[in-house]
Amino acid sequence: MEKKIRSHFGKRTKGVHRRRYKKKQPKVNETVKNVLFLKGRKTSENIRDLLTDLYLITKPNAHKLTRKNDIVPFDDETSLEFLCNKNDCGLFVFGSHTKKRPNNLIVGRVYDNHLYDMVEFGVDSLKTIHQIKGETCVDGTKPLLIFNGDGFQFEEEYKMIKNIFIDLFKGVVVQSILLTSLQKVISFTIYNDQILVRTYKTQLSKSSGKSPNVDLTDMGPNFNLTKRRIQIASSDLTKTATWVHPSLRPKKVKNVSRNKLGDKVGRIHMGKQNYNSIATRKMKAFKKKKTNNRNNNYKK
Amino acid sequence: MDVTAILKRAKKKKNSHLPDKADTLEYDLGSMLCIDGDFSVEKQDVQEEDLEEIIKKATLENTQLLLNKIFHLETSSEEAGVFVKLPHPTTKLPRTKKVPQPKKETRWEKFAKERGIRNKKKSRLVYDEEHGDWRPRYGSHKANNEINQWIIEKKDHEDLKGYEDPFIKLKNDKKKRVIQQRANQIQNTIRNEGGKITKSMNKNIQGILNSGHNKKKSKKQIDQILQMTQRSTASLGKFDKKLSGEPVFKSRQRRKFQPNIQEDAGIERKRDLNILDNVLTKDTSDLNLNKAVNRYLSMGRGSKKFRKNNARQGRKGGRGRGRGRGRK
Repeated sequence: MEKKIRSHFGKRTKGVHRRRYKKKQPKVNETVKNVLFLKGRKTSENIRDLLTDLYLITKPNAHKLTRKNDIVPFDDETSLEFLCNKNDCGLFVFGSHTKKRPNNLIVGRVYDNHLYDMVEFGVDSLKTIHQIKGETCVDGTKPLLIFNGDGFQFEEEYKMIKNIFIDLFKGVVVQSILLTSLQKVISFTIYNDQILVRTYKTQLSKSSGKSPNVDLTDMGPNFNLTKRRIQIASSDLTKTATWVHPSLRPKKVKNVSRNKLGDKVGRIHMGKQNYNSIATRKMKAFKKKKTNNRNNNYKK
Repeated sequence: MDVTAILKRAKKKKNSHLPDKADTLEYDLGSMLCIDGDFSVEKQDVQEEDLEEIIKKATLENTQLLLNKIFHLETSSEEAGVFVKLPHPTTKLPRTKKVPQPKKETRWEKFAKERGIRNKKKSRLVYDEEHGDWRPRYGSHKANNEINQWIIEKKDHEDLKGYEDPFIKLKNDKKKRVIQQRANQIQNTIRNEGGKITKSMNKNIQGILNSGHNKKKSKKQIDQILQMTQRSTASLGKFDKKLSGEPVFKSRQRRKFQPNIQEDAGIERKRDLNILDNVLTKDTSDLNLNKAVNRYLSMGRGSKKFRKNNARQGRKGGRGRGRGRGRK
């Protein structure tokens, strides 16, 4: 690996540079997907506010670029791929504003340094966190995602949009989570060909059962998205990109189940038993007495 | 007093964790999400003001159902609080990078595995008895360095006839080992790549060959060495035959100084008066005041030497210039 670093960087192979290089290397288990926020040639106040708010939601795993970029993603994605690679991000959120496409938001993903898929939205009726002035959550809180509408289950485009939103908002992949940290809720509702995105904060209170009573307060950002253009990944690419390493697949446990009382039940298979020579409990009364047979002739 | 209504309200509040609607949601607890397929709102059925309320209500119910499921998962109590173990997520999300290829086992690793040899962590510093301090275990200034021995005992069985200088022997052995190490390195690079030398390997092999005392010298260094060699004869190279194409280096002219006290006082007087004349009667109209002032102000910044001395500190343009380069 030493020599590979050398050719990668030239002379700098130690210390910080080595650590940075190691960090960028592919891992078997990917837990974090960084988001890259960029602006196009021209932006509106709306879009800029939305980008700031989305950045605040995705905070620890997000990079924000402040300069304007001369990029048109649907025409030429090479610049985007380069930037995502440089900043080590798997997702990008690109905001722009033109006469033809006002308040334009493009959310896309990158796989193996190439564009994977992206979707273009028109944003309206934005209410920022600042405007709503509700209680906010700590940076990096993992949200609960609620999808309202059967389009998310049956329509291809909505399914893809749901997938992208899950990737964007899910945060760090964890195996266990603190029950008190379930504070953020983001809901996506299909209404009138639009997707209404609402963010809430939960208020958990004690209840008679195991789970608490929930109440929601507005937090923001709240915005409505109109689907514009969409580029879905090919099925081959999807297959390679979503392939899970065998070590990470859920281990199927066979033969274990729980009965109605909650006991762990399993089946043990015994081989064929010879009932004649089973070792049973010995009782003195059943012991065969020595016969006093002097006539027994053992020699034949 | 009708208490039933109050009780009903209280009960509802206490049991709001059991919403009335039927649970037909699709859950993915690993990603903490749920999909409500039953939700549908038509534009004509609803007023704009009520829309927010409807969404909030639906979200609230669905959140409640989702939380119910999450809270019924396996929990574990820890210092930070109560953790719940999330199952494997069912939504298939694409990766960012390809799955890394498993590293090929090196020859040593294979051998170590067979023999059961494990890597023992050794300390970087070792105590050097001779100097009485702690020195690194390896390297040029290593502890207990054999090469820096000042006395080497002659062993009884060694014969004085064919006796070789042990100090020289140590140095030569070291040189041999270095050459052998380099050869091994090159052999390993070739072997690891499958036995054939490729272009990309060439660079690595060149690097190994040019390491240590074989480091590549710059033209300036080579010129210096040549100059030294040319001079290193008894006559300082004056009468040596030069090869065709061998460069000639300008030797420094001996500076000539006037003696401190002149024999002829007149000459000294003349010289001093000349200097005085030059200083007092110099035509200042020859002086380019602008140039002089500018030079002073820039502190000689246009000069080559200044640029050379400050090359590293300056920023080279080209960061973030050009199309499509967003800057952080």
